[in-house]
Amino acid sequence: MTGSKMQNAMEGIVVALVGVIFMILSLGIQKNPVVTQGPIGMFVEAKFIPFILALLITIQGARLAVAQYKGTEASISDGGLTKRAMTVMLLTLGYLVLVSFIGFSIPTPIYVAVLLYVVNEGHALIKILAITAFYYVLALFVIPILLNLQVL
Amino acid sequence: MFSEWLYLPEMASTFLGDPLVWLFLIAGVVLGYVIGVIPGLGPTMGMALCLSVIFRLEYTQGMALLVGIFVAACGSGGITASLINIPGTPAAAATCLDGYALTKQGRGREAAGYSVMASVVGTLGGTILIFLIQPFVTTIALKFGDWETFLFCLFGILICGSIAGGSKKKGWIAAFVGCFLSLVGVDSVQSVQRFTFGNAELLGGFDSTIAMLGLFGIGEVIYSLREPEPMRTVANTGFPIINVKVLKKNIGNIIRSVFAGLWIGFIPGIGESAACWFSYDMAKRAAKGEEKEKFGNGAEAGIIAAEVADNSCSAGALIPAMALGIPGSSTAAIFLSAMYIMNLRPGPTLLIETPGFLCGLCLLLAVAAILMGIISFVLARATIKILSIPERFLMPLVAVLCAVGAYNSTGTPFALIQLAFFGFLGYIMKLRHYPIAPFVLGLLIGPTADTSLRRALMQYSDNLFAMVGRPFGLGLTVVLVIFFILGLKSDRSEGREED
Repeated sequence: MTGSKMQNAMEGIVVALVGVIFMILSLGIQKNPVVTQGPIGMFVEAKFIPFILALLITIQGARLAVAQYKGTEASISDGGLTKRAMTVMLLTLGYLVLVSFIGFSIPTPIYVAVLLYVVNEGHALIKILAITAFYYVLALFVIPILLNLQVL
Repeated sequence: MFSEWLYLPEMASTFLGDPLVWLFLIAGVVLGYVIGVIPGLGPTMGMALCLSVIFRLEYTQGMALLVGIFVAACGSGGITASLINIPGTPAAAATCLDGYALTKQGRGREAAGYSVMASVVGTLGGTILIFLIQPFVTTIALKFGDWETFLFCLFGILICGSIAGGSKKKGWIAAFVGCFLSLVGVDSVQSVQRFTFGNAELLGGFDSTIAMLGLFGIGEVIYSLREPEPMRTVANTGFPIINVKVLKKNIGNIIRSVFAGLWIGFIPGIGESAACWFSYDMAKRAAKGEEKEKFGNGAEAGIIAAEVADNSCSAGALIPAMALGIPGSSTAAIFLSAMYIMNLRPGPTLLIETPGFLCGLCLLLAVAAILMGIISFVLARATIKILSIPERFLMPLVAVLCAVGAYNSTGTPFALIQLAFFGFLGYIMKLRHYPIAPFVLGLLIGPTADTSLRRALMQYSDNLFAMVGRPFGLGLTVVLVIFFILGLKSDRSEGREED
């Protein structure tokens, strides 16, 4: 019972931990070059607002963890990390990272075709290829030319 | 104060006399209609996608494109809700109840007709009220100093819990994290570097346009493709029908819903999703006898109340956005970003720096609403075809367009790394039910809150009472305290109910 309660509270604990990391990072911010004298000085420092925000994230995370532990708040997730979800995520994020290194020309048709293949579960290959070609021309030639965008 | 209204004839010729403005407005309305009708896409994503291109356009043309998408995407979501029981936009959720019930009775054309008509009337009503109210709001906003600006930002963050819909704690977490991430880069008061880790590309902080493309675009792409989508059953329909008798009977309902939507839009952070339910509930309470029993089973009044309020709220959310630079909803947040891109500075000085802007915007909103009504009728048959396009064929294009847009907003490859980061964040937030709207609100008002508080404290470092005792600040502080106490009370009562 306690094990499942702890599992529910994990989300809140993770948020609280993120808050703690943010707090540590905030404390590492340098002091203002021009120091304001008096007790107000502390509130004018560049680290003040980030530290307060990090503290609030930690408090809310802890509140969430307590509520989830008590069962007054459910730990909701729309499905776990399924094979399909992982593939779509890795493909999309990988595409963006790859484009930042080698540009749009080569990764774009590969990404569109593979993604269409994955989400259509390998059906309608001809349709997938036709859509890939259409999207490639539309997104990298037609729209950029119409709107004077730099892509290739 | 009233001089702003006198710009109407001049702005009419500037905006409506330019054929390119018309072209972009019509393109925006058609694009917005398609975006609004397709479930999963929505005005926020549509507007975010066009952010990356508007900086290439004249400000009148950019505004026309943006307003066209904004009005049509907000207004057409109800058609999908009525015909296939899936809200095209989250704000059209209340329309499903009675719209789809009417469709099941074989009256789909009427359901679509009332939805379109209510959207047009809601936008027009909201626009007229903005036109009348905005100069007064701006005059008050001019009395705002750094301290009052900070308090208003705090007010926006404080009510983030209510935008969340579900968990208030998650709403606040999202808002605080958004605020925190907005502080990355060199601070604007004393140029101190925050969280840059020696990376020169982070000196300027995160780009809000890219953040929105990632959160609403890439996040949605991954989220909607993670599971096979359910089959959609599309109802047969033709041109929408409107019964004039029903319309006459609902005049009171329409006026009430316009004001309800505008009021909710005015409060930063609540947004259209709440407005439609609030107005629907009001219409249900006001109905008597048989009419009351029809609610949920195909009441025309239900569709009209929800759609009028939804669209009036979208317009109303622009009031705090323009007067104070604080967005009332996620669509208003994108509107703000667009204004910055077009070198317009939202805030109390907007109407002084850009005289006639309000007239131009209201004209565009009104014309876009009328165009949306016409296009909805013209595209009625095509809508069925649009509705049958599965997301699995559309989303790859959305992802590529987001990447193209992000790259063009800064012109550096680092934009794509930022896009991937915010896309991943958006996906996780959707998956774990963290609302994105408060995050965006935090991201946009974070730097303003930080700068205004620190400036106010430096200005009044020797006499803090003078800062706290400023009349508008004092008034805002009282409102803040009341909201805080009410928030705590409702939080506790919710907790007791759950127990």
